[in-house]
Amino acid sequence: MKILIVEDEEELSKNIATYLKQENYICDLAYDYKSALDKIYEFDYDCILLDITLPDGNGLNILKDLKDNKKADGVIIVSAKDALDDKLKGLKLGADDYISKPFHLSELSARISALIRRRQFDGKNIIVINEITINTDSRIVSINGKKLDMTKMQYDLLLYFIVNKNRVLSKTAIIEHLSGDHAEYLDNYDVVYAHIKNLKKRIAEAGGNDYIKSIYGMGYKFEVE
Amino acid sequence: MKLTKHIALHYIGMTSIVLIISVPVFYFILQRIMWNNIDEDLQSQRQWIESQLQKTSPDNFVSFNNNILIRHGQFSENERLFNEKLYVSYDNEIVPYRIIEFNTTANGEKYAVRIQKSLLESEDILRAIVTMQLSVLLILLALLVLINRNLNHNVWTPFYKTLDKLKKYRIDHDEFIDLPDVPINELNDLNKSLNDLTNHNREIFIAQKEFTENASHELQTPLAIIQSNLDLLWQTSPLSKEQAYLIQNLTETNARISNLNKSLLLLAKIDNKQFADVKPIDIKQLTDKIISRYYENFIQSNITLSQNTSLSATVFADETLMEILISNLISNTLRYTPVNGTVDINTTKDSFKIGNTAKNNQPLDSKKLFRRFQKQEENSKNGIGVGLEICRRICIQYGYDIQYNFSEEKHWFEVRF
Repeated sequence: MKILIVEDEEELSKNIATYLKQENYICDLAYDYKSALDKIYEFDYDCILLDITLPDGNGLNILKDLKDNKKADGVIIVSAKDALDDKLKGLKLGADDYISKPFHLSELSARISALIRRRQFDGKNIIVINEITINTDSRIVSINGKKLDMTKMQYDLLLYFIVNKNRVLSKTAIIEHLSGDHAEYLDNYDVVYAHIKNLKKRIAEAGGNDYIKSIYGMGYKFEVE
Repeated sequence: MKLTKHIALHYIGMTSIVLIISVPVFYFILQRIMWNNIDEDLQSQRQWIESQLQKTSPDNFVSFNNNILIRHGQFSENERLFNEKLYVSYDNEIVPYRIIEFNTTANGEKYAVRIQKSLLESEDILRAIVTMQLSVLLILLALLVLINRNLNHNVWTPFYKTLDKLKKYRIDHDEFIDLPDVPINELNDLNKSLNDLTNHNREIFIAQKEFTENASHELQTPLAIIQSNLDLLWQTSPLSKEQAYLIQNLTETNARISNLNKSLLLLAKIDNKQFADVKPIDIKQLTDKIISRYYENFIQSNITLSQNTSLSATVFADETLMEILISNLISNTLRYTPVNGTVDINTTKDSFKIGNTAKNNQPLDSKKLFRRFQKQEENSKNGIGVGLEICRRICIQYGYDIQYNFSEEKHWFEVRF
């Protein structure tokens, strides 16, 4: 999977690349508008992370260019502006998703993974981790072939863990992921604990292994060989 | 009291005083002048009589003029000028007279002479003059009132217009106050000064708003850099318990700054009226949706939710804003409800009301409540203190009324649509 990161902040770009490379993505970096355009015409990407505010141009124009040239690359807009206008304009111009700064790398990774899954039309929307199978189309989780009943929260949480497998996810990243756009109620980390406890219980009841490890109660990790 | 009325009352008061004083004074002065004239007349007659007495008998005078009385003898005073009211038999009335009495000697004979002159005519003239003066003054007074009323219409109308515009002017809503030119210099100056003042203040206001906005925007990228570094720090190994604790602290703090920053941007966006996608929204449905999002939180703190939402309001507003409004009120409530407490949500045809058990059974300071960075309780480390301010701004934008009150040991927030 090839990803282009269009972002003028070098440190942020490199951090994103570092995180994504561990997920076996190949990352190209473009620090400005011009080099972004060059790279887009030269290669095809599975996903482009597009910062709107670039020193020498508006990222939205790159998006327009892509669509005008019928390039099929998936686009996630990254904006510091968090402006509704930009979001709406971006999505109207054909962006696939929108994420506003600051974000957790695990969240970005989940978005990229979701985007790539959506764009695979060959029925590959099935994630298999040992005995756990997730069909991301029908949102059905089964363990050893047996369907598992889950709440929406539990499903979201499991998927979040699996696309970020072997990564430490902080309590903060988890609660922000679960509350989506409405992360104003961040205090109650007990809720995270309760969700994870329920999820683990559900998996254990269905005969699954205990993959979710607590990292000193500060974060969690879905550990799989 | 209106300024014009105030001025009119002063005018009328002063004029009345002048009138009350001037009319009697005028009357007495005129009377004096008339008496002086009459006195002079009497004196000249006296001289004439004295010279005539030298030549002829006094009997010749009195036979034809009943106003001259000459008899032999002396008055006790040598000369006396005075007024006296006498009965005139042929008119059957009492008439005021001016009288001179004097002693004189002619051809060795002593006479006492009395000359009298009716004051009736002069009194009539005097009265006529005073009446005329009084009428003129009254007419002037009436004119004054009329002029004043006229001034009120012509001169003061632009002033009141200015005042009215100034009253309605809100620096965060209106572009310019835009007061027109008027033909009266002072008012024109006032309007110009107000135009300048409001424009200048508006510029400062915008600059300040833009500063907050830009600062918030500029903060997003550094915050993202910190966040990405923290996320990578989480992945380092080995990770000790101490490190995990420190990284989590940083992550939480960074999340708080980001959240605060987002809220400030949201406030700026509300101020800029960037939420304009108005459509009908059912408050009950919206409330249910938001409650389901916080379901786990209610369970965690064992909070009883008591809902009375048989009636529901439908409002025309931006969905995002309404969601923020209701969800802020609910999350705020959750934040401050003690474990095992109760949250009440009541909706009616035109209101949304939410109440929660008070931690220490004390009402909150309702003056500070809706202001930025005013936290409700000392120990709330996680709230950032802009939630209610955001609610208030949303309510202002749509003209809703948001109120806090304390009753039945509960904090209540009510929005009237």
